[in-house]
Amino acid sequence: MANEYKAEQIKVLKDLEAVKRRPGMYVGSTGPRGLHHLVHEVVDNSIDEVLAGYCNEIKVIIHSDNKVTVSDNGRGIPVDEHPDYKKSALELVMTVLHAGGKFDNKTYRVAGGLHGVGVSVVNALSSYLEATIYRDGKIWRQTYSRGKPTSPVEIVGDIDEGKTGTKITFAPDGEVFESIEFEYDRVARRLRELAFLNAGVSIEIKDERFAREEKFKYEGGIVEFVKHLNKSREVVFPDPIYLQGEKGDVQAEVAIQYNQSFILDIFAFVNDINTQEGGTHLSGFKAALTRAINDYAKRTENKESILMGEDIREGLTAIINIKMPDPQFEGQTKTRLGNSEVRGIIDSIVYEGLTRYFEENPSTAKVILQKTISASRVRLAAQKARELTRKKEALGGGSMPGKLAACSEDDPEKNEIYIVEGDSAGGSAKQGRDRKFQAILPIKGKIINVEKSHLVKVLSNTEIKAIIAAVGTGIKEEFNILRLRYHKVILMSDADVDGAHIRTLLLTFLYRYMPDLIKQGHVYIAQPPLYKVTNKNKECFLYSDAELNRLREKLKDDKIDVQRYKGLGEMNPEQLWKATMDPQTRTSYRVTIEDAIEANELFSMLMGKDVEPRRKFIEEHATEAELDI
Amino acid sequence: MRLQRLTSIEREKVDKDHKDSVKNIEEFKAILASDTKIWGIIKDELKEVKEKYANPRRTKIEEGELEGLEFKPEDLIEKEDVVITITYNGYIKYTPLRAYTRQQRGGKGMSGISLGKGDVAKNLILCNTHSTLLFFTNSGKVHAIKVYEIPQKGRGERGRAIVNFVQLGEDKTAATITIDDIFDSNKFLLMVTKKGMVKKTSLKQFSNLKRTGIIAIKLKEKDELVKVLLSSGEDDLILSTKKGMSIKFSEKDVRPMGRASTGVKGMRLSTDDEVVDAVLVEDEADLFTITTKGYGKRTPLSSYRKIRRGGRGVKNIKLHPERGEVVATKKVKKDDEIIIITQKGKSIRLWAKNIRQTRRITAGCRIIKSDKNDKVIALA
Amino acid sequence: MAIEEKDNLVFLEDEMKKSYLSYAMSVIVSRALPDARDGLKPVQRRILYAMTELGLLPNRPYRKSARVTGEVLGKLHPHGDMAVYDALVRMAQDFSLRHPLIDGQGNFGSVDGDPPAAMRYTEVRLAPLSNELLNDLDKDTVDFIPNFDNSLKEPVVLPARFPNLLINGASGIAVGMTTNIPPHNLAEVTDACIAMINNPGITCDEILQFVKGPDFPTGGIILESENLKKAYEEGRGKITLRGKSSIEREDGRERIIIEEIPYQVNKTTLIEKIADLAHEEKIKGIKTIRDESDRTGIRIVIEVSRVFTSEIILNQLYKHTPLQTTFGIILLAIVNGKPEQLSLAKAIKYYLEHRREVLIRRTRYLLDKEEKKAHILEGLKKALSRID
Repeated sequence: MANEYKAEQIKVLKDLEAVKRRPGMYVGSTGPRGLHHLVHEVVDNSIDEVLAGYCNEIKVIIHSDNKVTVSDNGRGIPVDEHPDYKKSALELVMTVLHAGGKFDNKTYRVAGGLHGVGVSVVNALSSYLEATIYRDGKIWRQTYSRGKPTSPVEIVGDIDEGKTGTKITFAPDGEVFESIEFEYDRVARRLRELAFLNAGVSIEIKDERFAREEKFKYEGGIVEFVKHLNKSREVVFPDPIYLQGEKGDVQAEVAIQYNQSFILDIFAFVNDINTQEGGTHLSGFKAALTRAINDYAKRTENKESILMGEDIREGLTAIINIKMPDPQFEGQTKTRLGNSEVRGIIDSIVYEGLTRYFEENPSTAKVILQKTISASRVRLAAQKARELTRKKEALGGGSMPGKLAACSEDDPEKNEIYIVEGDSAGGSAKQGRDRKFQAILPIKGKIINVEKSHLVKVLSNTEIKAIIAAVGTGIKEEFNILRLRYHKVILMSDADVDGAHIRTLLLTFLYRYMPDLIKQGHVYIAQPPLYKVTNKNKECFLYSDAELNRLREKLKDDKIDVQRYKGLGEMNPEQLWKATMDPQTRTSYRVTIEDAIEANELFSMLMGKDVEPRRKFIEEHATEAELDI
Repeated sequence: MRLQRLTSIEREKVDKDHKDSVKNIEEFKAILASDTKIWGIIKDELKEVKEKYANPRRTKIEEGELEGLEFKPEDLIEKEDVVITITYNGYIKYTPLRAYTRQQRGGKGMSGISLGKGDVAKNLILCNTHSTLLFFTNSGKVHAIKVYEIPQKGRGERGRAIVNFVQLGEDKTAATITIDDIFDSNKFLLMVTKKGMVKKTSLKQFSNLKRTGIIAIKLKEKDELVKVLLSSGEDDLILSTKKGMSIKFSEKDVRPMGRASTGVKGMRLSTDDEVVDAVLVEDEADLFTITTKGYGKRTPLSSYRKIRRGGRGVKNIKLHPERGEVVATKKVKKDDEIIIITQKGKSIRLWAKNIRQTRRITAGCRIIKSDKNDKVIALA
Repeated sequence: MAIEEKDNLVFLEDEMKKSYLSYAMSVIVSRALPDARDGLKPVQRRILYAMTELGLLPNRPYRKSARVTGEVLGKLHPHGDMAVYDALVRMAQDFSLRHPLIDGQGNFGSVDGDPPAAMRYTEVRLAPLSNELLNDLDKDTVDFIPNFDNSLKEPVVLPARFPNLLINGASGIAVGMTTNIPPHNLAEVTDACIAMINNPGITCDEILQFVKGPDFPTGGIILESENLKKAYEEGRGKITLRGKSSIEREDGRERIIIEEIPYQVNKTTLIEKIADLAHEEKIKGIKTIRDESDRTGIRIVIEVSRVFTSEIILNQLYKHTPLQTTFGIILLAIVNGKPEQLSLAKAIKYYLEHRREVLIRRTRYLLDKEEKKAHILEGLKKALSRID
């Protein structure tokens, strides 16, 4: 008998010696975290009683000598002798590792992470500990020092039959912990959290050092928790959505509210442990939330929704509170829930609950939908902006458009680029040019009107891309005149009205996307001839009807042969060179801006979306127009 | 000589040509001198083209059959007989009548709606898609909605919450619903409350119905609206209580009142008794009464003696505790159908003639086998 | 700088205004809008004139469209070949023009939106009615102007013996303005013209006694409303146009038969739209839809499920598909070289003024010719009298 007793004793001592030797393993550290963990551990013992339904009051007192007292009105730790160990159950709980929760298999608390290692650890790390039990009309007490009983379990007084509870006072071991100063806020925060997570329980804290005290009691539980978190934020709807359900042994409750900020606050608790690293319950919740909102959007807005999780979680404050047996904790700090079955359970509870809530509370559902849809719009806009940046960067890079016939000189100052209407004219220009300094870029048909088109669409246009790449400066904010490849950008279109139209489209693009190119005088308009006149084997080019009339008068009766050019393609390469490209003989105009404000208004009016001002302008100036047949 | 002859022929021709020419010249000059002539030619030429080429009109022009060329919803929505189901938790749907199949008396019924947790089917209404639904809340307000505005769902499907269609407000559940195809006739609404009050109001007073609702009856404290009937102004009605009493009186005893009034006493009730239902009397029709436990009876409406309003009435059905209390009554004819719904969302559809017609004071027979924890909650 | 050249300046603002205006006005005046007098756009007029010159009269054999297109391009219309061919094709389509001006041989497209065959396959000649447009062109009835290279002359307008603008209608998008003139019935419009000749002060209401409304080549039904009158009074307004349909009943089954579809509605698109709506259950009760159209005409058959009402389904089709469309009337045409929005009365008035001028010029021409002839005959008479 003595041998057995002794053997037991050795084992227990060995366990608690291990705790003392490596306290970090059991309470996290010997710093403030470990110190405060002692309080949590004792309070957790009381919470077990709360969960079992026998306790609704917990008091924590930080004494002036840094002793701490935790008392509850639970059933009180049993004091009778344990049949196997032949010892008082109280003493076992206080001195045997992991002995605590196992006395009551109805509680859900199971060892996980740093939690639930048992109050015996606290005992081992306390220079003094006194346990007082109120039970069966008696007051029982035992004291300990560094995990060893310093007194037997004895009756120290009588009490009302109905009054029960446990009171534990301990002084952390100054030789183990770096400091034994408790921080009020740290303790209080955790106690408030527990009060939120266990609706209805009253938790008081009193700090005798600074004469501070607070009482936490929340009938609304996690709903009030969410309200508390959102108290200084502008909420989207006043009362948080509360959902709860039970599947098998898993009980879950969720409270959800949205606020106008962009912050996401989701706290997930499993058996009162804050699972900071998330886990299966969190992913189940997120998936269900996204699905429920998207389904609702689809049903009410009647369109395929593209709300992403990130849209849905913007401005979300949520508490997930789960009570379950056997949670598996994983991760760095052992705060990630690993039980895979939980994902599906939470998913179905949240999805079904939310779907029903939305159905029955359309006004709240609507504001949530609006909020998430606007978040989605912002996200899409940002995405578009990023794509645009990428596109612009791609255009800035040195890639050359395939249609460009480049010139051989390397000096931008000497070089010219002809932007030519149509491939047929482009061909003539390529053959007629001086390839040393003249580059040709043929543009097909009427280019896009940039005044009426979105930036993204403009930048996807092949012709526009070719122009940007050939000019080399980049566009808008990225415009850099130093990268200009040709100091003369010459627009050459047919001498008919469609040519004039193409010219206005090109000028609109240059003015809106590379205004400095015009302002600094790099843009020219080539003047192709209107007529070729042949007279006695001599030919000359005329650029206007006035010139033709003058010539007719001069030559009077001589027979002249007049050819009216409708397109650049009508000219031979040699003629094109002589008439429009040879710097010695050509006529071209440099484009300058007279009045920037007028120019701006003019482009909006002539090229913009609004038809009425354009119509008015045309009517007012109809007589000034040069007509074409 | 030959030449001469030739020229004489020529001369004649030239003379003639010259004469013609001069005539033409005169005519052309005349035309140029006369607008009437010019227009005359233009007309002739137009007529000529018309004669030669015109063909009958191809596009028909119809008098505007549409008001402002816009379709009314009724023009676009199929008029179809439907069953509206409303649940205790305020879900609503309509299902085409053809989705239900007939069963014989005593059948187990089939599922009429899929229900949310703890929800029960409460109301069944036979009407059509063009009907107007009036939601009278127990607090005495009335809201209106067209049937086609509520969702169509299959027989076994769940509906949608009424709050999505009608703004019922916070704590008012719909107490009674009646239907209506014709809005501005000389009809009246007869409202019956739990405490036996009766109020009559012309239907016209409800012509401006909105989804947001208007007051239909001003209720006394703790009273609730239980039934609303659409009447001609000269009908008789029978109020029935849960303890098996019924009273028959003429609605002429009830003078028409405005919307916001309280009404008059319709029936004197014993302690703890309350009015559960009311029907309009019709020749050749019977009163079908059903209890919570599925016992029912069919008794000719003529077997109920007509008295003045405000009396205690007569015994309608003999009740035993195991047979439950009266849940609802319905006026039926031999060829009518009855749909009975239970709390668990089961419904049974049967012919009235399959239920034996009995005297007034009987206990009735078992109509539906209800499960142990199920009970009958409504008739349609 | 290797090359010195004089620096000519042009202000951006001036260049934009000038170029844009000349483009805009050219499109308005000589491309997209019809002339109020003969109802033709330049390209149409050039095609008809070129065909006359080619001798492609109604009683002559057909010729390849490519030849006509080439003739138009080479002599009169220096623009894209497809633009010319498209215009040519439209003038031959009996579903586009109430009275086609060109008699086509081959595939000229269909209401199903099928494209016409290429211009090397199709053949054309003038339709008999075109004679009435071109008649008297050789009698100095209208002005001729030089073509683009001064080598030929072309008429600025055709004599137009019937009011083509209203008969065949027109549609075109210019710059800052569009035109959309529906076709009308020839008998009705000529009657209206005659009525106006008889009573120059005729009111719109009185004209509408003759012209009941547009008359589309594709038939259909116009729902009469105040809008129609307003459109003719102001030259702008919207009318509602429906296809023609009937309901066939056969042993309790119902089917909707569509025999005419609204003007400019693509039949294939219409059927696809109906099928989509039926498929998505936006319109319930449609069992099947079949296109039974053949050479005798359009016939779209919609089988209706037993419990559904055909009338309601038809109403839904009107509401949700192009079986009912809105035709926005804009009576915009070129008058004296400027675009003008015309009331029905004005459109007729301008036409009649044109006819009056044509008639006067024709009479003068004939008078002139006759006087010359008389002069010669007089001479001949004198000569003959001397033989005696």
